Amino acid sequence: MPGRLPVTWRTTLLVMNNQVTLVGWTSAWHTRVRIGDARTNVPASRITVTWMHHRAYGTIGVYWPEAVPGGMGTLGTERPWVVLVGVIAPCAVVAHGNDPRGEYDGQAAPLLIRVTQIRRATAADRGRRVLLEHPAWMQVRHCRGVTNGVLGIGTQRDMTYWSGIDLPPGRYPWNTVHGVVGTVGRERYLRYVVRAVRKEAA
Amino acid sequence: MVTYQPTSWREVAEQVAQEEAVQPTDTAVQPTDTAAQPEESLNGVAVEAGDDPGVVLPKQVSLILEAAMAGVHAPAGRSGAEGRTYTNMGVIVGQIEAVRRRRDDRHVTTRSAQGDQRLAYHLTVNDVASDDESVSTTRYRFPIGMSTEMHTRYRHLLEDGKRVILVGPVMFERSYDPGLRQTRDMLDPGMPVWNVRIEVLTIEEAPDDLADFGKVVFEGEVAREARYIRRLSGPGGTMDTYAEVLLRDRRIMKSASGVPRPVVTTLPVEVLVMPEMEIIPGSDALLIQGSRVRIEGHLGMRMIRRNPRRNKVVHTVLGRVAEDLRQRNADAAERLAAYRAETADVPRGQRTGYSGPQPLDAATLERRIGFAQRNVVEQELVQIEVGAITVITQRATLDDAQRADVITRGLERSRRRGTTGSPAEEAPRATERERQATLDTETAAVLGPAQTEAEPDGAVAKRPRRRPAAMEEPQGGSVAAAGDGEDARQTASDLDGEDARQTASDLDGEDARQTASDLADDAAGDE
Repeated sequence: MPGRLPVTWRTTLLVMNNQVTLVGWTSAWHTRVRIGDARTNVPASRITVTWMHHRAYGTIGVYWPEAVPGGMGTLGTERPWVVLVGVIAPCAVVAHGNDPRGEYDGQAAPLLIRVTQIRRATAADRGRRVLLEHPAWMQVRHCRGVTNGVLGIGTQRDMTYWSGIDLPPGRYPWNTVHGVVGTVGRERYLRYVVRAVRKEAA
Repeated sequence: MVTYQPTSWREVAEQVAQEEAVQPTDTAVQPTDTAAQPEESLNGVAVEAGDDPGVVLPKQVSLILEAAMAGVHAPAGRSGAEGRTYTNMGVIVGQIEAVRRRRDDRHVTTRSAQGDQRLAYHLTVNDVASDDESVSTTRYRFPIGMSTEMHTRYRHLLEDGKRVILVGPVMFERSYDPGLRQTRDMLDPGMPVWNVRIEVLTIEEAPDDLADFGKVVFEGEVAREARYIRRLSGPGGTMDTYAEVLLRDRRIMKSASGVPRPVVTTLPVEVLVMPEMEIIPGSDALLIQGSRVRIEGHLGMRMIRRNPRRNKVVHTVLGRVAEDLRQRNADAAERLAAYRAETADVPRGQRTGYSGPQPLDAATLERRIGFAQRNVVEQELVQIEVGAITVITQRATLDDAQRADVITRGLERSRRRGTTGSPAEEAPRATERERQATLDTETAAVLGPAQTEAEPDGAVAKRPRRRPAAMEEPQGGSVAAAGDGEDARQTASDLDGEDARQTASDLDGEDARQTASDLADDAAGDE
C-alpha cells in the first residue's frame, strides 16, 4: 500500500550516553505546564510537548524544554514523519484533553524524552533500522506484587521493566522502550516499559 | 391630620453636609480625606468619587450611602463614625419595574428563608463603561426582593419605569426554583438555587445626570479553592479564563439591642485571570485560599444552562415535563374522541359544543415540550465581576510559572467535572488497581511472551538478608522470594546511593559492554 509502512518494518531505540533517536509520526504540538518537583528542584514551567507514535514502540511523550509560541513551526503540521534525537529525561505535565495519563497520577501525563534535535524524515530514514548500540542499565524491583513479569523501576513510577518471567530485583540491561497505552473508562493511561530485546527478536 | 413623610437620605445627607461645613469635627459623618487617611479611605471612601482611581462613584450616591451607613438611622444600630466601617455594600442605579403575574397582573411575592414576605421587582440597568478609546454597554435585569416594610416606606418611588438608586448589603442567598418542583411531588419546594441578592436599605430617586450602574464593595477571605471557567469573548473571539472565588466575611456585629451577633456573609465573585500575568493587580491573592481581600466589582447577569447530564434533578425533571405534557395531550385527545363518539348520532345542529382542551399535533407538542424543557434548563444568575482588588493579607505569592500551574490544574479539574456522563450511565473513575491491571494486560498483549534471557548482574543483585513475617509468601520459589520485602526496599533505596552511582558508571564501562555483548553485537550487525 503506497504511503504505508510494510508490516515487517521495525524501529527501536538507539541509546548511547542516554541519547535516543526515534523515527515516527508526531501528534500536534501543545504547550503544557510541567509539574514541578521540589525534591529535584525542578520548577513548574511551560513546555512544548507532543506524542510520537509507531507500532514498534507504541506511544512516547517527547517535549521541548520551553514554551514555543505557535508550536514547532513547519513541524507542527498534522502527523509529520520525523526523526527525533533526544535524551531520556522523564518528567510529567498536567494532562489536557486526550493526553494519555499516568498510571499513578491521573491528572499527569508522563513524558520520556527531551528533544535536542528534530527534523523531517526522508525516504532514507524510513528504511533505517535504529537499534541500541550499547545497552543501558536499570535497577528494578518488585513494587506491585505482580508476578507476570512486570517490575517497577526505581524512582520512575511511570516506567516498568518487562521480562515476561519473574525475576529477582537487581540490575538489568535494556535496549528498548515501549509506550503501552491502556484504556479504562473514558481515559487512556500510559506506561513506559523498558526491556532487553535479543538479536533474534529484533 | 398627620401625614407620613418618608425620610429622604439625600435630605439627611445634605443636612449633614451643611452641618459639617459649620462644625467639621462634631458630626456623625466625618468628611474623609483619602490622601491623609489611606486606611480609612478603604472603608469610608471606597464609594467616594474622585481621589482613588480604583473607586468611582457619583457624589450624590456617596452622600446617600454615607448617610445611610452613618446617619441618624444607621441600620446596624451603630451611629457616628463607627458606622462607616462597613465592608459589604452594593449600589444599583436603574429603572424599576414590578414583577406581575401574567394571568391576573398581580404583584408577585416571594418568601425568604427567614419567612419574610417580599415583593418581587426587576431593576433594569443599562451599564455603560468607557475609556478614552472605547465604550461598552451591558444591559441586564436585576431581580430584587423588596421587604414589605421598605415597600410601604418607599412606595412613592417604586412606580414602574422610575429610575431609582438602591443601596444595601449584598448576600448569597438560597431560594427554591419552583420550575423544578416536579421532582417528587407538589409538596417539593423545588431545587435549591443560590443567587446573589441585595438587601435594600434605602431607595432614592436617581437624578437624570446619573448613569446606570451596579457596584459592589466587599471584604472577605477566600473560602475555598477557586474554580476556573473559560468563556468565549464574542463570536470567533478568544477564550478567556475566569476564576470563580467564594469570599467569606465573618464578623461580630452589634444589633440594635446592643447584643453582639456573629454574622457570616459569603459572596461568589469572578475575576479575569491569565496564566502569563496578573491582569488585574492583586488577583493572585484570590487564587490562594485564606487570603483576605477587599474587592470592588460590577453586578451583572448571566444566563446559565443546567447540564442535565450532571444534575440528576434536572435530568429527572426534563423527563417528567415531557411525560406530563404528552400525558395531558393524550388525555385531551381521548376526551375529544369520547365527545365525538357521544355526539356521532346527534344531528349537527343539536350538538353541544366541545369545551375541553384541544389536542396538539405531534410537531406542536414536541415544540411545546422543547419550550418547557428550555425553561427548566435555563437559569439567570447574578454575577459579580471583580474590577479592583485591595490585598489585606496574602498567604503566599505566585510567580508566573506557579500561576500557570494553578490555573491549568484548575481548568483541568473543571474540564473533568464538565465531561462526566449522564447520571444513568456515569461510571466511577478508574482506581489505581484497575489501571495497573489494564496496563499489565496490555503490556503482556503488546510485548508478548518473554523475549529476553537477561539475568541480573550478580555483583549488584541483592540477596534477602532477612524476611519480615508480615510479607506475603513467595509464589515463585527462590526467584520470587528475592523480590519481596526487605530486599525490594533496599534495592529501591540503593538507587540514590552507592549502587546507583555504580550503575551509572557501569553504563560506560567495560563490564556493561561485556555483560550485554549480545545486544551490542546485534545492534552493530544491523547497522
